[in-house]
Amino acid sequence: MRRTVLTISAAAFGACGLVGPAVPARAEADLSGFWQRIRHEWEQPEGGPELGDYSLYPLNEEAFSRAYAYDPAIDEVQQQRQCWPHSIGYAMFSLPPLQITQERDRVILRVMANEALRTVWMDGRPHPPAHALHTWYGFSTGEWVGDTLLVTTTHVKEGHVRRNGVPHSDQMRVTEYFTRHGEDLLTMVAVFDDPIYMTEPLVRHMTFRYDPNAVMSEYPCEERELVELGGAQLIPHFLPGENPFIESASVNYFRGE
Amino acid sequence: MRNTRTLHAPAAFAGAALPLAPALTLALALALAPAHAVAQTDFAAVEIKTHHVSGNVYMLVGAGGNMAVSVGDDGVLLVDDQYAPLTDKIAAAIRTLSDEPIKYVINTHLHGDHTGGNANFAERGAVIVGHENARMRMAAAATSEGALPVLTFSEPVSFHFNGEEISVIPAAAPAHTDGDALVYFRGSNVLHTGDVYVTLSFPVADTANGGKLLGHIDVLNQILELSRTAPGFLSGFGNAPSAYPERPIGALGRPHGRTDTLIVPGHGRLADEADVLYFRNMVAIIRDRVQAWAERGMTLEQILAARPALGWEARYGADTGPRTTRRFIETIYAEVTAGDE
Repeated sequence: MRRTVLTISAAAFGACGLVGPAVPARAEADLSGFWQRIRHEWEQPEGGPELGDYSLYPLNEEAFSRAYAYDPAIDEVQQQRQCWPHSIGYAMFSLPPLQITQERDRVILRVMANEALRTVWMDGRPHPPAHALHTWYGFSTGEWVGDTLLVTTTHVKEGHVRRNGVPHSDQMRVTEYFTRHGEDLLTMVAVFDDPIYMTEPLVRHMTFRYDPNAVMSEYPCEERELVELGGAQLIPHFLPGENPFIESASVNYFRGE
Repeated sequence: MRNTRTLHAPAAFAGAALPLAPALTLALALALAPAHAVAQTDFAAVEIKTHHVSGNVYMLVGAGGNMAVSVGDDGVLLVDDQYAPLTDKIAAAIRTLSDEPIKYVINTHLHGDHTGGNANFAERGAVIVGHENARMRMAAAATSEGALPVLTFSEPVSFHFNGEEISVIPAAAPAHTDGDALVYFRGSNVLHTGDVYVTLSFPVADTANGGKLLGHIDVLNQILELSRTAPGFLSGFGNAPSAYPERPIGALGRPHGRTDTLIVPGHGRLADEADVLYFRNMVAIIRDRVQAWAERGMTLEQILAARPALGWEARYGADTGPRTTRRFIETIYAEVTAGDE
């Protein structure tokens, strides 16, 4: 199991010589601007993971049951889902660039994919009560820990942490650490703590490079009318033990593909 | 085209309240209530919390089923009223929102955790509204006359109240009971589903009161259809709940995943279309598993041992109380095999 540990010392890099807008009054560091993702060799290639590739994820039996039942056709057959965004479990790891805007009482996180827009409240407000709405990106509050922006998110909607059926629940809590290193680099470490589907917190990280020339392209989506596929109640899924694709990841691995 | 019978409130129901009497029978009070042991509920400790949902509509949370309240110049319209001992607290919570009289109480179904305050609110002048099957079953259970709905319906009716149309829509199929109703505040775009949709447990069919577990799928589809045909779906910036003024909107003004209709479930947290769709999918998938295994000759005990609800047990399951995972599976099994006998 890959466990990425936050080892970077923000203080070691400082925030001297920053490029971009002026530092907001209350911020401990300037994270603002456009950031392009730096892809690592070990990362999943474009196109998404294979069905059955759930390695490195701390899933419990409930999560495996959901993942094994997942049929990608559901995202096409169910018209509602065609334009739904990735939830917070995946949104920050989808198509960059990432734009960060710092205001006095909030930090805005904007990702190109699905035109995701997150507000991180920096004014000390409490999280909503338990009976409040849960949304795709949840409710986020932030605080500065040295030069690191620590973001805590609750009230998320059910979603996925991987695009091959690995679920997260609406009980998940997300803790993110955004740290700028010098002029050009930004690291984000996200800790997903889901008592419903994970055996232990899932830790993921990404590195970004500052890119003042980045373009936040439009990301349109238009629902398509559905073709009748066998009844209004058809929900694509595989019965337990009957997913024909579940071995494909391991088979391809041994083939060297 | 909606098939609605329109009754213009408030004048249409003025003076319609009938003579009143004490609260519901113990049988109904206990029926399937998540707080299943009413006697164990410390009503003195219950706090009624108000939460602005959208437009005129607030959600009230206490003990028992969630309530929705419409407030405005025409008065107050309340959906469900929890338990009788909470009436004063509920009324006090409403008073923080409006000084207008509580004119109507609409029951989403007959259970005591949703209708326990009927008699008290009727005594204070409210007209109790419910599905005709709910009234029939409440009367058959010796519910006091004062707690019974005095205005019943078996097809959609609309209130024109507080500047919007409030549609009371019978469920498309027997589900939690055979007298379930959806209440849709069309202007505020808020839908109260009663116990057909809950966020805390698997659905429960009260078969003794005409409920059908698999009917939940039809009614959840009905809720999804209402949500998707709502004015403003996938458009506009309105309808933001107060806790979420920044409700996710595409940064370029093109909304992604907008689910404008906000849904007050019978129990649990505020929800929207996506939550209901995930819940519907869950019920359908578990139904498919039970049905497939039953068709292959597996017995009920074998199916229970195979855990068809695995994937959602930790989120919605229970081993005790009226809403157990076992009961959920047993009910599905009984319905999918009903034609085999």
